[in-house]
This record gives sequence, C-alpha cells and structure tokens, in this order.
Amino acid sequence: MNLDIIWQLAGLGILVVVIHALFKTAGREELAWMTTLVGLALFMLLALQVVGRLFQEVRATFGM
Amino acid sequence: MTAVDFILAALFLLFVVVIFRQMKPELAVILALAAGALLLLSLLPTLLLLLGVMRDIMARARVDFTYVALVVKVVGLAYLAQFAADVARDAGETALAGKIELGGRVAILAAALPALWALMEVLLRLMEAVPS
Repeated sequence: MNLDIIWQLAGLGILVVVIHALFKTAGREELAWMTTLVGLALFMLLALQVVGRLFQEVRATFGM
Repeated sequence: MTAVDFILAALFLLFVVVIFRQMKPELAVILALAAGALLLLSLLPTLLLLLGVMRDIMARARVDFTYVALVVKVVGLAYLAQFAADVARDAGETALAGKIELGGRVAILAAALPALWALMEVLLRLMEAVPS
C-alpha cells in the first residue's frame, strides 16, 4: 500500500495552514483565503486521484 | 499486505485525519476520503480472491451465474454507498449522508429488479398451474 499520497497530502495541508496563518498575522486576509482556496484545489486534485482509482477498481471487481 | 499492516496503517491514517479535523475540517473531509480509498484499495485483491471462491462454490451448486453476479454487484453498491455516507457523517453532514444512503438503496433496487421480476413470473406461473 502506497502511503506516499498521504504524506504529500498531509505536507500540503500543513503548508496551507501555515501560510494561511502567516498571511493572517501579516494583515493580508484576502491572500490568506486565496492560498487556502488554492491549497484546497490542489488537495482535492491529489486526493481525487486515489478516490477515482478506488471507484475504478471497485467497478471492475464487482462488475458494475 | 498482512492484516496487522493494514490495521497499523489504518490507525496511522486515523491519527492524521483527526489532526486535520482540528486544524482544517474542510481538508479533513477530503483526507478521510483519500485515506478510506487507500485502505479499501489495499483490501481489493484479497476480496477478489474471496469472490472467486464464492463464484466457484455457486457454480458447483449449479446456481445461475447471473444471480451470483447480481449479488456481488449489490454488495459492491451497498459498500460504496456506505463508505460515502460514513465520510459525510464524519464531516457532520447527516442529512447528506441520508441522501447518499437513499441513493444506494435505489441503485440496489434498480439492479435487483430483473431478478425480482423473474421471481414474480415463476410465482405467477406456479399459481396459474395450480387449479383453484
């Protein structure tokens, strides 16, 4: 089982939280929320690969 | 991948997801999806093996293969719906989870319809054959 994706996701998530907090303390709230959104989009792209693969395999296994 | 590896990996993933739920609940939802998907993917080869054995047993018992395939498909549908509904519930969206479960039930009913129809036909023919 390849746990690399989880490492990448966790790392990306932590990065987003840190940058968000940094921008917030620097007073640039808009940038903070923008980074969060961008991070969310990247996060979803990565994670949905895995979920997509799951659904593909389940379809193949169960013959749907 | 042994069962112990699987459980250890699951516990580790649980830890990561819980941390994220504290920090950024939105990301935790997607992370939970990915973690669940990974765990299920690692289970699929073993499941495939078990399904193959079940198919062989059914073939020995001379059960029509279409019905075995239907049961397998329904199990898969039920599980996918359950998985998605559980992720929704963990995220706090109980209403959405209910909709997902309903969708799963409808899909299962739709898939099982031909078999139900065939059963009805048999029963009706049986009733007609018996002089009342």
